[in-house]
Amino acid sequence: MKPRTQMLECRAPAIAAAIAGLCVVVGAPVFAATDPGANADAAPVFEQPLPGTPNFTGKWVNTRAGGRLLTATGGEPPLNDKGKAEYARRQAALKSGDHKIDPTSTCLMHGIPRLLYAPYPFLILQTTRNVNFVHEVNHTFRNIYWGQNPSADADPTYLGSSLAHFDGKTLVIDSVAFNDLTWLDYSGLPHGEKLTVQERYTLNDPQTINASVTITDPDFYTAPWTTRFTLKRQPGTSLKENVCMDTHQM
Amino acid sequence: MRRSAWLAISFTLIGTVSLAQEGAPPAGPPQGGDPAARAAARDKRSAAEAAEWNKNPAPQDPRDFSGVWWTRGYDRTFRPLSDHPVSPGEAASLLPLTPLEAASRQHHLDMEKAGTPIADAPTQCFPHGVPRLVASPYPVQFVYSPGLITLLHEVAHNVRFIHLDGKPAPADTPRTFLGYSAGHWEGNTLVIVTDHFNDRTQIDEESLSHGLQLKVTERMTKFTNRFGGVEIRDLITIEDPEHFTKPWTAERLFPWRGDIHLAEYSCEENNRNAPINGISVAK
Repeated sequence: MKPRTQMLECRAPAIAAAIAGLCVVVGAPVFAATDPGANADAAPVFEQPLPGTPNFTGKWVNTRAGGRLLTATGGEPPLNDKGKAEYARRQAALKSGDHKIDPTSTCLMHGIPRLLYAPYPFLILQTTRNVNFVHEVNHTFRNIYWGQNPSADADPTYLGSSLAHFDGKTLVIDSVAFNDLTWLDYSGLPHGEKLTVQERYTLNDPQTINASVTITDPDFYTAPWTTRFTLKRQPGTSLKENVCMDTHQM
Repeated sequence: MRRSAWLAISFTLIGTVSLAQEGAPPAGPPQGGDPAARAAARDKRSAAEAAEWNKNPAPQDPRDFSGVWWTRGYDRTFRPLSDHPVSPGEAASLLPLTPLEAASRQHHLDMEKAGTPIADAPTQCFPHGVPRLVASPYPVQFVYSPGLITLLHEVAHNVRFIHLDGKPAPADTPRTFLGYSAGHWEGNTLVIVTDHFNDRTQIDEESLSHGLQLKVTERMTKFTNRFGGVEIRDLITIEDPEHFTKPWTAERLFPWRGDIHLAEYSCEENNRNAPINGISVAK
């Protein structure tokens, strides 16, 4: 897959300072426009953010896409022996040029949190009904309803079974019921079906989300661990049609 | 949710969806007894269905389509809407085919009959194209945000963006599987005009093709059927002077489904149709 680093470089500074302050009005009962040029009269907006909560609707990109996850203090993830062995196997394969070991090489879904680190913009659509993450990369979307304690009995999937709620001003997404076919990151950090993921999103300013992801998987790690990243708003961009099966010949 | 088993059953029972009149119940299996009894049984099923699907009610405002909708059954063809019931053969005869498309369509039919059907884009996990996607027997969620309606289709995680900013497609808009969609409201009807298509998808699964000049205009209107069920009627006008002698309009109905959420669908996981021996619609 062609990383869009070049595009990211030119996209990141393109954040329109002009709309700062218009993008998110905490506690406001209606959506504020996230796109310059969006005509508020052109369409009725029936779906509203939950009252009294920040609105994350808009286009975002991870400022540190790709690469390998570290803990919040910059340390190594606490892999157990099984985790270390599997990680070493993947690292060795990648080093030897065997990129087919990477599940995304056959266009499978990225899994969570890796999807959030893809070097492509994504759309967060936060409504009274649910929260959707719509990613440019291989037109992958997550459909997350409001609630807590998602059921681990759901069929295992690439993106897991997720529920979202607000903890104060922080959007919290809890996910369970993952299959074991994805990597946690681009470097090959492993996980199994016992994986649970908690994402936490807090608006630092209208253009910036401070985010963290906590990984719990007793089969591959000695303890839960947390990594942090930053999302920047991308008002000037539009999501392109990205079809992995088309651009990525197997 | 085990969609595949459900669909297999629904294909068997429902088969081809008719050009439904407003409030018409889904076609059911043939039953014995007199016509009035059969109609009463159908009505009872339709009422039960509407009650189940309305557990979480559809939005009240006629211009609010937000939520999940799911077409009934599966019809692998698009045919011109007619004002009276017609047989499948008659419906096909109403297609305004150019000589190019008539030959292309016959080729599709012949290849399928020979057991070597022509690969349709979704068989290789490419986006379905429009209106091909609209016929897909999987649910779709409408999501509203300022200046944009996003259509999330369960099938092969297709995503359509309907731009409501009132602007034409940007000059550098590429040709894509799903094209560029611009929407506006005419009263309570959402009108979506889509163009900038590539020529690698089909109009329908059975036989109809299109070229780069394809333009699709959808007119979506919400209504309540006589059983209290809410539906979107989508009138789909297809224009492509290379393939059709005049614009023609097909119809699809999407009942409200307050009882379900979209499931994860990975076409890529089970993709057995990757290009082999150069037989492919891949570039």
